[in-house]
Amino acid sequence: MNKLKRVINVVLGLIYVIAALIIMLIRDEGYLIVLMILAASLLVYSVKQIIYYLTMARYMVGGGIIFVEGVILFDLALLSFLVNSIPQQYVMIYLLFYYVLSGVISILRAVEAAKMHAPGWFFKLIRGIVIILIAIAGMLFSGSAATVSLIYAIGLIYSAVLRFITAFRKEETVLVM
Amino acid sequence: MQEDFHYYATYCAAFLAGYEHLECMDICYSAQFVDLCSETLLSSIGAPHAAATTQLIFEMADAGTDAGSIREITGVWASFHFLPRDLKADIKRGTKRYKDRYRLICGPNGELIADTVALAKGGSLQAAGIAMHVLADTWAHMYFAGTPSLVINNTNHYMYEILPDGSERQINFSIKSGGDDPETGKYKASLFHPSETSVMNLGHGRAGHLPDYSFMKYRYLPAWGGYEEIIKDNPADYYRAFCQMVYALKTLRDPESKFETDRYDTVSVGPLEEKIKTILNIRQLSASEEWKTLGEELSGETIEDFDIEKYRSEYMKAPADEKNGTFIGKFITAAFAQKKMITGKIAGSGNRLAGDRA
Repeated sequence: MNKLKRVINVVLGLIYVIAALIIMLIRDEGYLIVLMILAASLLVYSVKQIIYYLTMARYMVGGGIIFVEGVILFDLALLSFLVNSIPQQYVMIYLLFYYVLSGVISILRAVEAAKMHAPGWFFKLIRGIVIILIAIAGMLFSGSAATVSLIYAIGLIYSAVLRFITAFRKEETVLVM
Repeated sequence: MQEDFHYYATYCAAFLAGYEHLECMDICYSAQFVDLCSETLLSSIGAPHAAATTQLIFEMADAGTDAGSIREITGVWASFHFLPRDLKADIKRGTKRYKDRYRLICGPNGELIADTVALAKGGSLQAAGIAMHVLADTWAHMYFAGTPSLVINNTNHYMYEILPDGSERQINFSIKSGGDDPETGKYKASLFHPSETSVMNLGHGRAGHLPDYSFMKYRYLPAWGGYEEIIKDNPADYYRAFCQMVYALKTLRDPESKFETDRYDTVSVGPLEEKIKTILNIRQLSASEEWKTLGEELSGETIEDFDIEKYRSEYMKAPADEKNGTFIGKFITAAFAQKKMITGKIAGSGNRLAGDRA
């Protein structure tokens, strides 16, 4: 991992901590601010992926997956912008759904890494499992908007800690040239 | 390609081209040194970093993905290990960004290899060695580009080894520590990375070292190939590379002759064809011993093992104004010239992935 990527991980970790604090401190509107930030970042990323597909990846064997990813994330981004008029606990469940998604992706990456005997697969697996457990806990308490918000904030702090660990840990790069 | 071909086979080619034993040693040493002359090595002897002909794994891992870093990476890998076949390839699809990458795909018998041999003509034995490294790699690294690019260099699960008896087996890639195993068909490769410009997507990393093994024959779908299967026949390609090296080295020795693409000295190599093809087809990770034996049979001299330290102290002890006359000094001069020419040609073709930008 180069220095720039380590810095990006630290910055993302700080953003997660700030988002968690916003949710915990601004009880009424905080989750909406986080949701809008999430929606905006998803929108930017999905558009970037769709452009990457249209200009480059559509000529690549297996490049269709880039398009599918871009469209799904674009759809989710638009949906995120529209959910601010429904009760808070449902919005939080929606946010937790994103959380489950990132947990599943982490587990899939862990499986892929394990197949290739890559170092760090166990770290990814545990990350994914804990994220999903936090999301399940959030859904179990979905009757209480305040509790769901708190669980989501804890999940964000957990993600932030993982970012910091990733940024500072030594890792073995396996690169074949 | 590895030490077996770049060092020992290059020695054999040079001897067949008419060079004396000691000249052959200088040529093959230089050819192999291309794989070792990193910024780290150069800084340890106080030599200019810009002459680097390779990058170490940790240098790569720490490389950025900004445009300047990509140009620097491409300058090294396209100039010495993945010489582009056709900088003006007539490709109808894709944006300029895609075309720039596509046009860096390596392959033999392009204009740039003729330029590379022409540049070495009349130059030092070190220049000849560098040119032979570049030439040999155009065969081994064919179909991959010396720039980080997912859309060009990616591979997928569709990769089958074609065994000597004609049967096939799917190749299992792993990044587990330890060597490749031709018996079980387990090979090491870079992990998939979805970022277009990740160094994981440089060259043939996603296909592991399959292009580097002379015995390997396999079929796969290159990312850029529009689902058209390619069969890569290394034994056949390596034999042609060897015959082309002998031809190229002969043109370097003869002031009157000029290197032309797609020409091979099958006459000089012919009597050794069976022996060479046997070496190329042995299912082992390195054929150094076999090539060394062949070289020593040819010249009747002992070919010493490659020693990275061999010329180090000569360079370090030389006064500043005499460094260019040392072995490494001559290597650096030739490497500079090669990199300058290739990156200049890439940039001159309108490709933004290499060369200095204002």
